[in-house]
Amino acid sequence: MRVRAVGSLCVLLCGAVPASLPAQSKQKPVLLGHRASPSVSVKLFAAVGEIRVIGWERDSVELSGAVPAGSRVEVSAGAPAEASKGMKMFIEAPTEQSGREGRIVLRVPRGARVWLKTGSADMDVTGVTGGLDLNVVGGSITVHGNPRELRAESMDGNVIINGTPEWLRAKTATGDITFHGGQDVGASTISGTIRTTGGTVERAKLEATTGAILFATGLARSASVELETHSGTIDVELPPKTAAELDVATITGTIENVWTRTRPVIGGEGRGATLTTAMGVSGGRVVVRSFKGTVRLNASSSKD
Amino acid sequence: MTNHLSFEQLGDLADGALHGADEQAARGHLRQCADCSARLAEIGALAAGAAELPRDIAPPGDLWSDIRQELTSRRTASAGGVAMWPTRHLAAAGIVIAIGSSALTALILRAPPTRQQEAAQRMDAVALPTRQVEQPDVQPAPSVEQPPVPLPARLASAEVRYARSAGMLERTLAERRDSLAPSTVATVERSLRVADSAIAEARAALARDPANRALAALFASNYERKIDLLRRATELAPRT
Repeated sequence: MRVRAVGSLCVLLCGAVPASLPAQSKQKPVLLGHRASPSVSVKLFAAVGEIRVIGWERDSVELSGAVPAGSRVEVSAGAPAEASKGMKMFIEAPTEQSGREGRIVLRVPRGARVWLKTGSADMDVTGVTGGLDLNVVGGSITVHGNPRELRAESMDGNVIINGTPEWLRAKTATGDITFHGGQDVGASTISGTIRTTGGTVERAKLEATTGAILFATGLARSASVELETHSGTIDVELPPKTAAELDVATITGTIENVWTRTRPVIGGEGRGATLTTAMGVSGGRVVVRSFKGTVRLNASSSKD
Repeated sequence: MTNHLSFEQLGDLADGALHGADEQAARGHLRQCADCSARLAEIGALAAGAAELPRDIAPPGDLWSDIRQELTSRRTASAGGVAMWPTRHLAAAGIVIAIGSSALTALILRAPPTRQQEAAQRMDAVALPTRQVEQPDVQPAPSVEQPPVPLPARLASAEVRYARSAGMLERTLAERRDSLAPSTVATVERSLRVADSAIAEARAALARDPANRALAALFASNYERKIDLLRRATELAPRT
């Protein structure tokens, strides 16, 4: 393995292969670290199979794990003896297949901003309260905690957010997107399913082409929510006694409303429907648009 | 001459919004007042000039080609080196396309068309082939060169721009196809087929019901998701 460290990076390479690694993987461990500012920006491009990012209370960044023998590892961390404000890391495996066997853990100060890009790795991020920009082609993205900003994009992997980011933008092509509210959230997919359950939102725009949308999240006062799909179903489940105004339209689909007593107005030639209904005052506004998917409005059974 | 016509009166006269006794009085004054006649002529010329301005502002037509040329030269120069995409240029291209998409959405959703546009819509609607109108589910995806069903002028103009953006990204993606893993290519192509199908379906419905703003919004969103998918696919790292 070739390792090139720039700046004052402390690099420790261990020759022994940990017992937990598969015998046939021909991997070698890597361990490196550097002092960092609490809001350090860390950029990592890694051709590995699994990446864990952990926000910790220390003022340092640490990269550890195992990468395939022959991997190229490059790090740029800034001036020696100074807490780094920006770091770049690059891990390239000798072959595509071997790259899938690498496993690394990146520890960063909680308030760090992390940019992470990989091909087919599964990403798991815990405890980062700064910003996250995560991009993967074929793997999944799972985030635990409440980052201030979160951008998560995957082509065919799932995106799961177990927390409440202030700002969220999640995109997939075929993968599902699951989260639990947030202040300003956006989710877009072609054929995946978008689900938000629990929590509350202030602003949300969820859109899919053929994918379904489940919106079972509370509305903050004066919330603004847009739900749109071409052919997927849209289920809106609002907590009991939610004050809200709903504006629903489907071009050729149907609307099933059990949230209020208002009946949808069927469109001309018996196709499509519209519905405007409200409960309470000074509530949020939910706009639902569908080309041919079914729209169902329900009251959720619990307050979660 | 005193008691000249006010700017508001002249404006109303130019717009044809002055009627009855007010109009007669104003025209009587114009016959005797060269100053007001000259101001009315200026207002009329200004209105005519404004009517000829483009209704949306698109980025320069050669901007994307310049970016693509730059990308090509960078790729050639860096052949054999670390195969990272020139992300700044891609980002710039993405911004251009995003701005264009937003402008197009605004164009599509812009409130009431002019009388001329309405007339064009009626004429275009009459020209729709009956079979295609009645069978929206089997419409093929629209192409840049030859859309299958004519849309009203306002929407057709927007669609051409959408399709042009998508076409550019599709060509870029095709050039990079070999650097992507087969599974990634399969995922992207499958998703593009889904997006194209949805666009075609919304498009056919919109041709029948051009005044439906909810439908126009769905049509625009379908295009934007496709363009965004293409953008993301072109930004993917080498062989994943």
